[in-house]
Amino acid sequence: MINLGRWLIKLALIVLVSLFERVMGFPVVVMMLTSLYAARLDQGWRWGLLLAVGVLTSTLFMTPLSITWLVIGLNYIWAKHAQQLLPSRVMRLIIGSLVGSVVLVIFSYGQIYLRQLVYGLIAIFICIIWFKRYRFHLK
Amino acid sequence: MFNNYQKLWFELGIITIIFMVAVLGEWLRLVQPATSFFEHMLQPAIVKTSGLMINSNQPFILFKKSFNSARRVQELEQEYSQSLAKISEVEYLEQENQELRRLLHAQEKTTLPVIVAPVISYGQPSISAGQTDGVKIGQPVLVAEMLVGLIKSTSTHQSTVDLLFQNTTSPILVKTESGVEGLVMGNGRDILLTEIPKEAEISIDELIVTVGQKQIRPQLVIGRIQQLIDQPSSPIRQAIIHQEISFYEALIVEVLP
Repeated sequence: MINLGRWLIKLALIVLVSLFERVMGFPVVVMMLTSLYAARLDQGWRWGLLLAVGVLTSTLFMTPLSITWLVIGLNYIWAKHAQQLLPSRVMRLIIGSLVGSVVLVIFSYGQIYLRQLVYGLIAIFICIIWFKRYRFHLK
Repeated sequence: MFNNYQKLWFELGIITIIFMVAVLGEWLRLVQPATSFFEHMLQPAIVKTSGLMINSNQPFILFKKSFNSARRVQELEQEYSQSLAKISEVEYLEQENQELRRLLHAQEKTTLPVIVAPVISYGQPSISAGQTDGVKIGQPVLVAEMLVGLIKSTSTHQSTVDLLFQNTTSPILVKTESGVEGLVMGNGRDILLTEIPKEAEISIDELIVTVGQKQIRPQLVIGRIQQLIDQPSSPIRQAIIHQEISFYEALIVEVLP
């Protein structure tokens, strides 16, 4: 019971960010939040969240569900399990989300524009400040 | 119970299984109704969010425009007086046309309905109308009666737009006020009028309209010539077209069926 409320709050936050990022056309913060939250949930809730975000992103960004799922899933695995390749979790989140977003945008629209990358970099900069400020168990 | 290595393989296994189920679902077309349903449910929220964002962006647009507003007002006043003269001429021609139609017992000209859709994304230009609204790939997208792009891809309730400056693959046949024909294409930054013969007489501020081709009606306004590019070694001339209206400042667009 305790998890359902927290899970719904997390999902609601991701939905709000997704709607904003749909307008910007680059889902970098959604990818980052999904990996971050999924890593901190129990097994059942984790896959539920990943699947819900997969369906949401696929719907909003007009991408095939299978590709969206693969990108979100691999991004989560990279952020959680690639300590030996890249020890900093912030860097793993940033790199994974950026690469994942670029893949999704290219699958969706066939190309990517500079303004989207600029938005992505600004969003990442703001996220880093946010992460540092609230210390989300980041190493 | 599990060490990290086992956990990694376990999670990779789950991702692969769900991926395969999704691929199968897409192949059997079981996923499309679900995404279509979610698209329909999310449509009001998407429209509201994009509306909020464009409204919050308005002060910046006005601030940017205010730098050369005095000169712009002068130009608009001049264009307005010219337009008034043209309107009276057009009204006279319309009356004459109606008289002739009456004499010939011809039927009134029927106008095709347009699809009106809110803009939902500026990063990758998209609109909130899709296949269910009758939107098809290649249809022209208008902002305030000016052609700004063509439909690039569609889903059930959304479509993406290829703006004219991004359109490098589908040239549009156009002509100038003086009757010179050419092709309109984009180079990623500007809208270009290309394939103009060297000897053709074109000048700055000439209006560019479509000639008419498959899916694109004739007489759709594209913009005015802003700059002429004349390279001595090239057998053709090019010009940069300026559009008064921008997709990025619009809340609503029209799609011509």
